[in-house]
Amino acid sequence: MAVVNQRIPFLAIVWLLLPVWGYCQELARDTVELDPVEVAAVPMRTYAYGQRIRSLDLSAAEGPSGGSVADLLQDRTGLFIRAYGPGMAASLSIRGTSAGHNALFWNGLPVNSPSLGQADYSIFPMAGMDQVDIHYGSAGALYGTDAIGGAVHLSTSLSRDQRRKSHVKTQLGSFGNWGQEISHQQRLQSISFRTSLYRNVLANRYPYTDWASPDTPIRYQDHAAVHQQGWVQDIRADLGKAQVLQASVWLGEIQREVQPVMGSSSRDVQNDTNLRAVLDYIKNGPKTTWNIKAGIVRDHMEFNSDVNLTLQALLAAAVDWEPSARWQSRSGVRYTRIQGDLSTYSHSEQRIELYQATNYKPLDNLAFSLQLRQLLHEGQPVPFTPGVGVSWTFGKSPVQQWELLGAASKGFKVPTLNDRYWVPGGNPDLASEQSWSKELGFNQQFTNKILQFSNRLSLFHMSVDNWIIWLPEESYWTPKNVRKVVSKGLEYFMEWELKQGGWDLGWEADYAWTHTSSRSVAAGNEMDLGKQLPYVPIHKLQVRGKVKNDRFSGFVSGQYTGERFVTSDNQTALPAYSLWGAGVSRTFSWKKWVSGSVALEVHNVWNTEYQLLRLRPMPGRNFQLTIHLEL
Amino acid sequence: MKKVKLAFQKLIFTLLVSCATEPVEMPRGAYEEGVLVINEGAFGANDGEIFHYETESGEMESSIFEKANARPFAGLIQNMRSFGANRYLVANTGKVEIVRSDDFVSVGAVNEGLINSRSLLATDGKLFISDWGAYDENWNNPESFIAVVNGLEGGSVSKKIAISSRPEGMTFLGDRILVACQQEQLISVINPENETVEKTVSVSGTPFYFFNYANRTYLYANDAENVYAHRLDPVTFEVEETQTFGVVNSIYNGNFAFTGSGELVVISNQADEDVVVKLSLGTGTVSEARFYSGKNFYGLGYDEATQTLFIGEHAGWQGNGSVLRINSAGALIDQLPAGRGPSGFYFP
Repeated sequence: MAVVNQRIPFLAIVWLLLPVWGYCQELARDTVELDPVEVAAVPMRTYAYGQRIRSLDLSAAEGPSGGSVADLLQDRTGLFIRAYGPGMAASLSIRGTSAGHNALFWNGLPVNSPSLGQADYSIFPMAGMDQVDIHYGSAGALYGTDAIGGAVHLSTSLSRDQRRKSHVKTQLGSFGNWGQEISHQQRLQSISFRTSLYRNVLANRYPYTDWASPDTPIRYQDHAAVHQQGWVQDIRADLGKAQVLQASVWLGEIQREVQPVMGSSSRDVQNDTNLRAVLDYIKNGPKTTWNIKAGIVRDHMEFNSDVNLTLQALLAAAVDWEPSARWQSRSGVRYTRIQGDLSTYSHSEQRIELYQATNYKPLDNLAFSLQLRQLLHEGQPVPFTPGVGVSWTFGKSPVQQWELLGAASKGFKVPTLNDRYWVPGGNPDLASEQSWSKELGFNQQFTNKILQFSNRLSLFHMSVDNWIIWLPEESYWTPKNVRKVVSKGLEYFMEWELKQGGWDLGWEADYAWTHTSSRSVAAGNEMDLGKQLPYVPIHKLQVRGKVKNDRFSGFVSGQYTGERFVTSDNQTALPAYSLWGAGVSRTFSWKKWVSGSVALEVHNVWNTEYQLLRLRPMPGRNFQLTIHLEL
Repeated sequence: MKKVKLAFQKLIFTLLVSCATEPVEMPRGAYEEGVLVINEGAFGANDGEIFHYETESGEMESSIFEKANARPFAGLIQNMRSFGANRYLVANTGKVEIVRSDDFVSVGAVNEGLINSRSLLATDGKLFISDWGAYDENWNNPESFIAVVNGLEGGSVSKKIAISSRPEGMTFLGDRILVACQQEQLISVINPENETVEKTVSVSGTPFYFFNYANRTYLYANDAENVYAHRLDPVTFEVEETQTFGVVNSIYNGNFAFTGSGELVVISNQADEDVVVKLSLGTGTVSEARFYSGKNFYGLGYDEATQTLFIGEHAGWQGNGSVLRINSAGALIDQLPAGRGPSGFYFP
């Protein structure tokens, strides 16, 4: 393992932590009781002034809620999901990065596979979360390894004031697809719990043009079935004295016939069983919030007969401290133990991270964030990771405000277990991948009684160095730190909402322009210099219009994905495509104890033939009926 | 009127005679000249393709299969064979595409019943296709077979002849088909009439393909230390003589270079580079241990007409590769763009 001497920054972290330890000791002597309004941890986004974080409104996304996070991000954002077919393996690209350059969290637990270094976004059905937040740009100081292009946070949220509620949802779709979800939530004295069960079946018997056969016949997908089921359990116990204990467990299983690339007759199957469990103790004080977190992530993946098992155990503690209205601070430590039992090797390792995040607001309209993180990997420090951001609000009036934002941050990725230990070829001498990211942003918001609209523009520039690529050697492939990539671009998000009579009209657009350029490549790959990375669309636009009143709602959505190069020398490309969808929904109630909604959606209205990845056909026009009952 | 009729008959007779004695010379198709570059394609991407290099202009035309047929090849090309007016593109992703030699327009395919097809032989209205069969849980291929198709322009597989594991190259010797089977290091002898395996012959090294030299049939085989050239008895199919060349880590990618003047050209994967080595069948020795060297060498071809060696270079499989043209003195002439994993060359 290449080690960089980072003694001074490491000491700086310790120095920054010292006053916090002192303050904590003082707290222990002086307990303060509070009226328990809503005890909650302080989200990490609090310390991200200057950076862009978007929370997706899942209530408006009831249509795709039977799908996965991959479907949600593809349909609702300017991000590009590289999916090998509906329900198949899907990875995320933020700001031109690769699949392993984005961190995924569930209730604060990092859930990227430590062996692959990335997450399969299709194995996270929407039934397992209440909220999705996207953090754009490098945020290694906030979140640790992998957050080079950004981070996605999935979280459950169990409201303490909800006495009792049950949901039943059934979805029927084209091509033999259906899904069911049942959840029940209840509160018994100070303990709230919610149990959710889901089952999704994608037969995926959709027609496609077989470009691999003479006369390009129409065939039906015959090896792409997906069976998914799972159980999500949330428990929250209000302990009094502004303390809460909350736990979430997610046991999920997904069995997939791996959709073969056109022209192949492969019949691979993959079964994933994933257990994620997290326990949080949170204590709110007048100026402090403690959060102690423990969690495990167990990923069992069986590809044909090869079994790969990884286990991550995490223990973390953080304290948020607000000594004055102008200062806000978080200090934390995170310990992770990783065990990997892969088909060709076994390895275990430990990581410990210290981090410090500080907000400073010298003026009411000016705020700074500073984030610092030092990760010790097997006792050796990986490069020290800082981040800084600023937000300046101006032109503020009762109806309008403007905001300028700026941020610079470093990100890193510890080489995956496979990168270092796969037999043959694993390279234990790999250095961590590193990134430097800068961005400028501009926000505008307008609100009056009938109209709200906002615009957000971000410009970014990111440089990723030591990018790991697997290259063929004498008799096997081995990973090396060879590539350097510069990514720059623009993100624009616009949203408006008009209230007129009993109607709400809304419109949103999310556009991303992403330009990447390989600045350093492996010997023999000089043709790749200056070229766009494969499967990074230069343009992606998503628009959505919606209308709603008490009983009725409807939407029209559109998506444009630009040309994607297939190879790193940009000699081959997939054409751009546009997809349109629409849906209507009507709510109803029967007696006093049943209410619900019926929704009908159509996707890919114009039956566009398209491929996200070359020779992997996607479904044409399809319909989905959703019945949702609340008891 | 009678004269006119007589003149017409004379004209017809003259035309018939002239046709019989001086056949009209049909122009050669665009792809019956120059060099065909076989680009294997990357695993999981199925982007194998054929490029065409025009010798006179020096231009490389990309993706001629897709251009001729308005669809991608969509497979990994293991081998290309030429029989009659057709070229047979054998994909190890389980299909054979059959195109006309002159314009590469598809005339048929075998795309049902194949799993991991490797090479092909055409005879007496039948196609014989070597196929590794499916992998088992230990990545072995215990159910390898030779697929028989009744028809030279494709169709369905009429029979699968069970054969020793991992059949690769095939050839005719006498009235029998010989198949090089890698796993058990043997030759299987097939009677094409009754479509049965008649005997097997053990050989040294892992056998890959057959070639002819001085009117004799040879088998190319290798192991980690040596390259073997086995000369075969045309009657018993046993190994008559074996020449052993000390070449480490030689690779075989479904295609090979043979100069016709008795020199085998192979690639040796060495620690930090790939080396092109020349072997002389005439002397049984390594004639040039280091004819040319570089990185990411994958395929070889030798153009007898121009005495030029073509090397396929895979660029680390990060994108498309290139073709290096090397003259008889071992100097680089030029480097041309190619497709993904250029693994072999065909000189019509």
